[in-house]
Amino acid sequence: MNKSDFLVTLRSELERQSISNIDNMIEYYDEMICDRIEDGMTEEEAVGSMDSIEEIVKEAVLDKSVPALVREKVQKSREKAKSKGHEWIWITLAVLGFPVWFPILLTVIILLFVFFMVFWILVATVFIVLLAIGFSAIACLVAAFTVFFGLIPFPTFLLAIGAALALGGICVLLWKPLVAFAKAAGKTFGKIIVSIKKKIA
Amino acid sequence: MDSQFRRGILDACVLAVLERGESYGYQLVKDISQFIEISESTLYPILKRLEQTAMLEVFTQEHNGRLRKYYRITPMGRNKITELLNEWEEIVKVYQFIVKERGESNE
Repeated sequence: MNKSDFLVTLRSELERQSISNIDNMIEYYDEMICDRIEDGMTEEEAVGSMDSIEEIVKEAVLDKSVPALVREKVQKSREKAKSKGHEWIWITLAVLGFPVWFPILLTVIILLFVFFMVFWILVATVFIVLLAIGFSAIACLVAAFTVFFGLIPFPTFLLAIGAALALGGICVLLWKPLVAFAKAAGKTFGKIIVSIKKKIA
Repeated sequence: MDSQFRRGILDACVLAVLERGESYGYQLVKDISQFIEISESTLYPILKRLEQTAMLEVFTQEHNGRLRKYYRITPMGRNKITELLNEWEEIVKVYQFIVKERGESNE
């Protein structure tokens, strides 16, 4: 098998398992094969010395997202209960306990959703404020130029130019810190997700 | 070997190699596989996880007319190695205790 065949087959297998971030993985294996060829292997040898596509897909499945992990875990424990013949106990408990566990589950889901929304809305708000300041600067500049048509008196023109410069300045000054803030927020969020995943897996 | 334990060891191996200097995927596999079995498909999730937890940084550099990803350890990654080594020191103590107890009970 040559490199492009290998990568094409790998991509289609990963897609079938609905793995996320496939491009990144293909890039990684592409690089690995290229490095092996550079190391003196032929293309065939390089592809042959890679893990089999099944193995790669298996590892990728293990590395799935939180909801997917939970789903698989539930499925596994259900199958286990089935094989032991205890399934009816769990079904009975689930039915009898419905008034208890359902509201709790719903609350947890809603809380997580709200947390997620608040987090990103906060980040979005900061940028919207910055955008508003930027637009105001442009608006002031446009307003200032109406002096040439005699629409506003000279002192108002000065005021408008001044305001445009000040607002524009604020915009430029705040841009970098805000981008840094958004990046830090994204990183923190990523860490939270990772720690949740660790608890489940 | 227990998979959780093996994962911890491989994390430390990757970080230890990177502590010596930046490296790329294939080189990492070559360096580490001298001591413990590791393949590309095992390395990939490790690199991804270490990047997500800010233990290492990724950057791209041109090499022979193509792009190659390089990995660089962060201060957090260095702390992690120390942390893991301290954990294993405890495991070694328990190991020695178990071996000693067995030796005595077999006598």
